[in-house]
Order: sequence, then C-alpha cells, then structure tokens
Amino acid sequence: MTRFLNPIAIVIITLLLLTTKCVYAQEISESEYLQLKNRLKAEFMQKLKEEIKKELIDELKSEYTIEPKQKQVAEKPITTVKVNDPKNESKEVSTREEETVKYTEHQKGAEELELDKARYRLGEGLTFGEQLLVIRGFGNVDARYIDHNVSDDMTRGNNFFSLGEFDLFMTSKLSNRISFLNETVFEFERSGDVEIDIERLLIHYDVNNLLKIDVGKFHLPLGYWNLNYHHGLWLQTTMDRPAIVEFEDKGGPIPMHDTGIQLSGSALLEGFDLNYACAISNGRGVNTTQQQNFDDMNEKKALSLQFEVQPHIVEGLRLGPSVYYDVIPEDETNPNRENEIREIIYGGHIVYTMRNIELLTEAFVINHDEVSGDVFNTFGGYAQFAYTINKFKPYYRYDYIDYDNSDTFYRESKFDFFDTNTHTIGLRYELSHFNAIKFEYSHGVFDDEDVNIIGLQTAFSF
Amino acid sequence: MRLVLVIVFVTLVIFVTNAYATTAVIVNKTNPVSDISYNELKQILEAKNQYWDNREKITLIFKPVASNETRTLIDKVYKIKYEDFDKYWFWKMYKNEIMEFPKILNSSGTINILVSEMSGAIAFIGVNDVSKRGNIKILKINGKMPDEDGYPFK
Repeated sequence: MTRFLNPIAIVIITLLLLTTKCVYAQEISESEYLQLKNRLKAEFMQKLKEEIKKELIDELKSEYTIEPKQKQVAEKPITTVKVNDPKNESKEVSTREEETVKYTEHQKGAEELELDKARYRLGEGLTFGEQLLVIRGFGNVDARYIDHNVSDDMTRGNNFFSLGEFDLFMTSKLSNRISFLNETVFEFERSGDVEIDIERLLIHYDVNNLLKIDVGKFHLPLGYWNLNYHHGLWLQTTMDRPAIVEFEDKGGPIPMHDTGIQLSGSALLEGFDLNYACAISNGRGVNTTQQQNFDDMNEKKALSLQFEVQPHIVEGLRLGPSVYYDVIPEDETNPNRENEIREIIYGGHIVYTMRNIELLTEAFVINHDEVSGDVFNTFGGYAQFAYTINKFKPYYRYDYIDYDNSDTFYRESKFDFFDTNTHTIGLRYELSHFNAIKFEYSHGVFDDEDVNIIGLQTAFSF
Repeated sequence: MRLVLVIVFVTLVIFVTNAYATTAVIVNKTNPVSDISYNELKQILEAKNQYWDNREKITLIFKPVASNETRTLIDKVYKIKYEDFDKYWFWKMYKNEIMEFPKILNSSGTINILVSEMSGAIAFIGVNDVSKRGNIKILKINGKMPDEDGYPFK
C-alpha cells in the first residue's frame, strides 16, 4: 500500500503546484525584491507595534479605572447646527457625530499621552486620575483591664473598651519632585467629643538623595520610633508607643510634632549609609501638650538634628544620635512658670531589624534649664525585642523613665508624669493581611505603685 | 531507552527552569550606567538612592510578587516575607521616603516597552524575556552578565 502512496502523493503535489501561481511566479529584479521586502517588513512592524500598543493599553486600563469619556459624549442630546463651509454653502451636521469624531481623534492622542503620564499603583492605595492621590487609613479598637488606677489620667475605670485613633493618611504626587502629605487623626475623648488633629501636613521637595525639604507640620527627627511609626498602630508591633516617645496629648515628655522646615537626606558612602535630618520649627508652647502650629509665642525657634548610620557590614543595623534645642516660653497665667526654660534633649537609638528579628532600643536625656538657675534632668528609654514566627510575633518591651520630680515644666503640666518602670510581654497575630490582633500583659511600677494591665487590640489598615 | 529519555527530559526541565530563574536588570539604552555594583543596586531597590548620576529620577519596575523574578529579589535583597512586599512600600510612603509606588506590571513585553520609553526606568525580568529589539540594555552587576558565574540573581 505504501508503495503506491508515494507516487500518488507526488502526482497530487505536482497537480497542486501546477494549479497555483507558484510555478508561474515571474522572476523579479533585485530592486523590486528589496522594495517588496521593505514594504512587507514595514507592514509587519506596524502591525506588531499596534498589537503591542493595544496590549499595553489593555494592561494599563485593567490597572486603572479610566472614566469613559465616550459616555459623556454619547449622553449629550443630538442637536443640529448649520455650519458654513468655505464656499458659503450651509449643511447640517450632527454635533454628536462631530464630537464623537473629535473624541476618537482626541482619544488616540490621549491614550498616547496616558502612556507617558500613566500612574501605576502597587497594593491597596486608592488612586485617582492623572494626579496620583493615595488614601489609606488606620484604626484600632482596644480592650483593657487595669488592676488599679494610679492617676487621674486613668479614670476610665478598671476595665473598658475604647476606640483608638481613626487615622486618615493621604499623599499626592504633584510633580516628579514635589509631593503633598497629610495625616489627620480623629481622636475619641473621654468627654465623648471627637477631636480632629492634623498630625502631619507638609509639602515635600525632593531635590536629590542628599537634600529633601519638608515644609509644614511633621514628626520631629528625634529617635527612631517617631520617624518610623507615626500614628498607624497597625504598623507597629506593640499596642502602644513606648512611654518615652508617647505623643504630647497622651502624656509624652518629648515634643513629637512641630511646624517648620525640615531638611533631610542620605549620603550613600562606601561601607555605610549616612542619613541626616535637621529641622527648624516653632518649638513647644507653654506646656507639654501645646503645639505651636500657627505662631511662635517667644519667637525663638527650636532646632532638631539627627544622624543615623547604616553599616553595610551588618545589614539591618541602624544607629545614631539626635539632639533637640528649644526655649520654652513662660506661662503668664501660671505664677510657677514665670520664666522661660531652655530645653535640650539628647537621644540615641540602636535598631536591628532583619528577617524575623526586631530589636529596638532608644534612650533620651531631657535637660531643662530655667532662667532662675535650676537645672532638671529626666532620663528615659526603652528596649523592645520581637521575633516573627509565621503569623505570630511574640514580643517583650521594657520602658523606663526617671523624672526629676522638681522639674517645674512637668510638675505644672495637666498630666501626671510618673517615674515609669514597665515590663510588657505580648503576642501579635496577623489575622489577615491588613488586620493584626495584639494581646499583651504589662506589669508597671509607677511612682512605687504596682500596676498590672491586660490589653487586647485589633489594629487594622484600610 | 526510556531511562535516557527521562534523563534528557529532566535535564531540559532543569535547564529551562534555571534559565527562567535568572533575573536580568534592564535599563534604558540612554542610561550612562552599564555596570553597577551589588551594593549600588541594593540601594536603588531599597529606594535609598532615587536618582541616577545624571540626576534622572529612578523608576522601579517589577513583575508581580508571584513572579520568580520579584521573588528572587525579595529573597536576596529585601529579605522580607513575599506578602509583606506591598506593606514594605506603603510603609516607605507613609514615612515620606518615596513619592510614588514602584510600577508593577504583568507582561514582560510591556516592561520592555516601558523601559525603552522611560529613560530613568530600571526593571527586573527573566533574562529570556529581555527583548533584543528596543531601546534597552542589560546591566552588568559587579561586572557580570546574567549568564556568567557569580551573577547575584541566578
């Protein structure tokens, strides 16, 4: 059978060839051949370009919700108008058709434009249109049991649920080198009121790696925690900030926010990276909670300076000193605070974060020098260790503050500033990608009084 | 005979898998950098360095976290969990360290085109996905091309 197949196949192929023009193909000259080749190549490249462009546009569209402008045009009522042509002949045209044509032409250009100005997003930030605006939020709900209260500040009872901060964060890129950032926090007061605090509001100028300029209200470059964790509790391992870097309106002893100008940058050197941040700001008001966002009562500016080294030899290690200088204005309403106070805060941090390990340590010395000649020193710091095991992150933190009890500035504050000696152990569990449950137990000694606190927190980002 | 076929098949699979596991670093041809040290690249990947020497802003382009290329970078440079990659970048934005997120694109073809178009772009794709046409070039790392021994992203 196969013997006959081959000749039959040859006959069929020959017949096919004869019936096609292939066998009659005329020979063409070399120049014609090159012309044909170039034309086919150009057509092929054009087609390929269109396909790639289409793929690119589809991909961009799938990542962005592009408002269909066609719809706006389509929704317009059809009206007819008379248009004079160059020969003064009038003819009726449909406005909608005209606009649609215009739109189609515009759309071709717009798509190309959008390729240049396309904004991509990673993760869950909500983005809007041409000018990228990212909005994210944080929240937390706590439950606590305290075996007894040592302060009027803690008159919330011995066990309670509490709404934490509702934190809205937004940032927008205004140009390739300018951006805006805002963090607004809604705080729930004991009185039932909701206080709205603008915690950060700044415009950022990105000159180069060595110089970035922030103008507005920012977190002062004082230590590691204050520049890294801000207000979203979901990002931090523990339920609360360390006592020494607690926010001003929660009884913290150090200024954490201020309004002014901040310069920062990084020098990427052989063997290590050197980061710096330097701020000139209004400084504190008359007490620990007063922030001078609008003006400066004594016109003496506060200065903050922080350096940080990241050696390449130990990946994940960051260490550096910081210093803050300010003159706190006198409080005319308080006879015990009739003098200005010179405040100098020295700080330092050693931080190691790599893979599963988180080791944070910071220490501060707060020096208050009154014009009267009295000098007061407060020492404080914390050490925190955490280790991640899959979704679990057990942690331990030691907090320490030793106030100078005769320091007028703290003594005359609305908060009770207790010497603090607290051990906290806890467990953080990642319930989902954006929700963490934290359970912790603290044993603290506040001015020689023992206090036990059990807390549970659900912290989330949205 | 079967044994030989199996051995050939397995060898091919290993060869192909390895070829795809190598991540190439591509930049626009106009970029004056052709050879970069591992440390310099790490600083770019961590957004510590956001500008090329010619003052052009660096635009990072990755494939999605599920891709071999990006996972290689996460394992070797970021040293974080894969699922924390977006958190890592968000935290940078929250700290005001970056102005926009890196670009994440599925298609290697699209990445090739974007790098061709954007003079400050740097992207990380499989070495076999690098287009031979277009305005792009592969960066050497510590003087090594992706097919050479000692290349860090194999």
